[in-house]
Amino acid sequence: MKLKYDVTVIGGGPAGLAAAIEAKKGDCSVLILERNEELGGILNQCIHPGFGLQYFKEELTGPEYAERFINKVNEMNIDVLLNTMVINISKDRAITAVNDKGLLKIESGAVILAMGCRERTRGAIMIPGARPAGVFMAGQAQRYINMENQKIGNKAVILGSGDIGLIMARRLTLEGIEVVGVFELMPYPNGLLRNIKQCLEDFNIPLYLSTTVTRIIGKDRIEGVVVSRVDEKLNPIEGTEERIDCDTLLLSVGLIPENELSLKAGVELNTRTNGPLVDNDLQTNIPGIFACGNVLHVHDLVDHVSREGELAGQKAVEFIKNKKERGNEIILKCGKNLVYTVPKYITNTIDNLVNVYFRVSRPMNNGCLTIKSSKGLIFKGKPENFRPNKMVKFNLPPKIISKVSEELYIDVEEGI
Amino acid sequence: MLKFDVVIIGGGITGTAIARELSKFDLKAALLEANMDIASGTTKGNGGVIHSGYDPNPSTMKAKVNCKGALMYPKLAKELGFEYKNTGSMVVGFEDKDTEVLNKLYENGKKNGVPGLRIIERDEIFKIEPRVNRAAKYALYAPTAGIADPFEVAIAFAENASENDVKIYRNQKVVGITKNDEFFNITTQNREYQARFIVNAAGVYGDYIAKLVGIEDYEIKPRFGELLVMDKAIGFELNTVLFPLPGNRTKGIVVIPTVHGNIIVGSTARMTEDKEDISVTKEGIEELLNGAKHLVPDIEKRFLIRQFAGLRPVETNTNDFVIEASKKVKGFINAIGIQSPGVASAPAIAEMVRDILSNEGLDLKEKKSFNPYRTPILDFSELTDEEKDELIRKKPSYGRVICRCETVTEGEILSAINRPVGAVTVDGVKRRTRAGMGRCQGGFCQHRIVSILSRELGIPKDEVLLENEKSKLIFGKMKGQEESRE
Repeated sequence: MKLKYDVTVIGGGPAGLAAAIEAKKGDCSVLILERNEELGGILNQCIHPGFGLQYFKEELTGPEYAERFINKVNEMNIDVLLNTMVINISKDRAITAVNDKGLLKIESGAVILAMGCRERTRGAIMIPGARPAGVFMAGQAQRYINMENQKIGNKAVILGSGDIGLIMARRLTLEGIEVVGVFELMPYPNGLLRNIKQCLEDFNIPLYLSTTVTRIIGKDRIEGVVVSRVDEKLNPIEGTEERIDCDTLLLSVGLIPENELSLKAGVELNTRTNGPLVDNDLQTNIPGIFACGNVLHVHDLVDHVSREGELAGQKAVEFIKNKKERGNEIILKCGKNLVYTVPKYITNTIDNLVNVYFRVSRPMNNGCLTIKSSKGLIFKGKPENFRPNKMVKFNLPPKIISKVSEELYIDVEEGI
Repeated sequence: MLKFDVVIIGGGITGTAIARELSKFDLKAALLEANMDIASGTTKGNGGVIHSGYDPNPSTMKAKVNCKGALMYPKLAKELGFEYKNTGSMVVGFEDKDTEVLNKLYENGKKNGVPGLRIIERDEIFKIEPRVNRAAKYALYAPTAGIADPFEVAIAFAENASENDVKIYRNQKVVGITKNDEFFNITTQNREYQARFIVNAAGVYGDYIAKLVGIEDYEIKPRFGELLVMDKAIGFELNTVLFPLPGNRTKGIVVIPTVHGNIIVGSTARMTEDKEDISVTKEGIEELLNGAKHLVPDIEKRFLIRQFAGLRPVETNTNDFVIEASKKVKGFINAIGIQSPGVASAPAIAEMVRDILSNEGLDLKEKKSFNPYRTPILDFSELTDEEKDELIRKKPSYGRVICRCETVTEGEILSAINRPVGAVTVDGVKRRTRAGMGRCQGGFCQHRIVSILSRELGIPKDEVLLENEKSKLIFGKMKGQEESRE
């Protein structure tokens, strides 16, 4: 079947929903392609509260948050194809997808990538030991419990203090599954502070920092793990090994933007984050292909995802009218304490503030945001505390942008 | 009591190759596999190189079957529909003195009858494989080497054998064997089988099975080896299999392209006592990465998707394959100690076992109805757009993509389950279709595969296994009794 739309959004999670709504407001024909049987993405399995405090100024569960956007999509009569998997995107924005009716070819004026992210696996972090059943990624376990109604074990160890791991520590406890503890390789927790408090401290679940799983034991089903303390270089310290019996190990060790499809279209990725390199319009190097949400960079809060999706939707509409390609008048370069910035490129023909998001690579107390051009320091922020677990957003005012022509160095520095 | 002319014990690549060979003849044969699935022991835990055969000492049993077996692969791949690539291989030397070792291997290979061996130099090395370390100077090039997924080959053998009336019984652990004048009585945990001949292809348990009939001559110890799999996202494929200069008893850390475009690095080698433990170690992973980078500097740790290990059955008295009829117990044939190069050798071992059986008195009459061809599971991702569309219109299950990383559809999974010797476990589905083998390692699709297995096998979800008999994934419903959603 052949279809033609102004804007095609790949992914019907929070980013894709927000993008589609904005694109529709711009009087475009819009199609959402969703691989699952319902819209909402990962929010559907996030049955805990804490969503929407910024966007809606009230506290919602994941499904409630999703529902508000889904209702809007329905009210606006935005076309949606469910159970539909995109298998290819070309440079000229031709999408190939399949569902159980057949193969679809969709021509698109603009494409918005909103496929989200996946969980880092055991293989990616190379945990030594046996390969029994009972080792799950935290989000996978969340799916089994919240969506499939399946019990995944009786006694769990959680490796990694990412937000999903923390949420699942509480969830398992509430469901009567014993959580022995959460073990974190780094000397600081990885998830949001509020989740440390509400999911661990309130339930007396211990968090062990600078500790990691160094061996998985069990031939058929996991029978236990060995945990070890690690030194400053994150290497296990000999003699600190301790065996813990458990029948379940959950991994909450990071999320990775899922861009295998983007690569097929020739989209350039940041090798550190696996997210596309975009400008302040969220446009990738491929004209008319935009990215938003966790496929671009992993967010802490869905509220930011929705805002980013909206921007992508608006800019996709503009692209259809003006065909402007990714701007690269200014390149944002990361200093040594930054992991990445989104955007990477800035067009200097702008009139609005540019929102820049970044993460620091290590915790810093009293760090100052610095912005430098080749001529020297042009901005220094007030001292604040920075943590890798918190995405930072700041506004780059036009008056700064107008001063530089090529590169801006963004960093957080201590003691300056 | 189930009665057979021949019972093969062991459903790895050796046992299944023998089963397929015997399925050409008018006789009653069965294969007993201890695990829930075939190809789930040594066969699943190795790198998949079809060695050309320059390595074994010409006086060994390995030398007799290796080169011959490797040359049988192209035809077998066509008949049985498994993926095979004739990639060739290179042993790479970095110093002038390395030519001495390369020449020795070359001479050895010639004695073993390996065709086309050549010592090549820089220009040709990089022409064949541009990703080789630029410091490479010389290489022994073996054009007949190749690659295959050993478990895919074994599954193909078993399916074809089954379609030609060899009975394949899984989850049958042999616990006792007795013999009277005519028959062996083979007892498993819950059944009995009668056979005139036994073929022992029990891998690391080959000595245990031999002892059950009173043969104490063999000792099989596992040589433990770890391997790594790299994501296809690494951005390049290798054209050929790359070896360093060989170590004392092993072939060193080898960098291997797979038929599906991944790269495998393997393997470490360490003799152990434990016949079950396949736990990978930190040291092993490091050794592999270092070895891989030595040959192919572009290999990067961040593209690792999986580490695994296998146990090669080493017959400690000979360090050689043991393929012979027992002199002590009439009718008992061993095909044990099948370590490397077992994958390459399996088809030739099967023919050798066939001949031994014939010598021992088994009547081999060709079966007219023998069908050498097997239809593989259709690979949806390889079809053209038009073919995909047409297929989905006929069978909508091919329009439901279950494994997004490898683009595996429900149609393929159903086919994997509902065919002879079909998948009964999550890992069985993975080995047959690649579902769950990609970068997310089943994070997104495992629960869907559990649902499909539960539905197709007619068992509750909490009885769906990952791999082994006790490898339960889930422990029943969280709440309530109502049927949970698909």
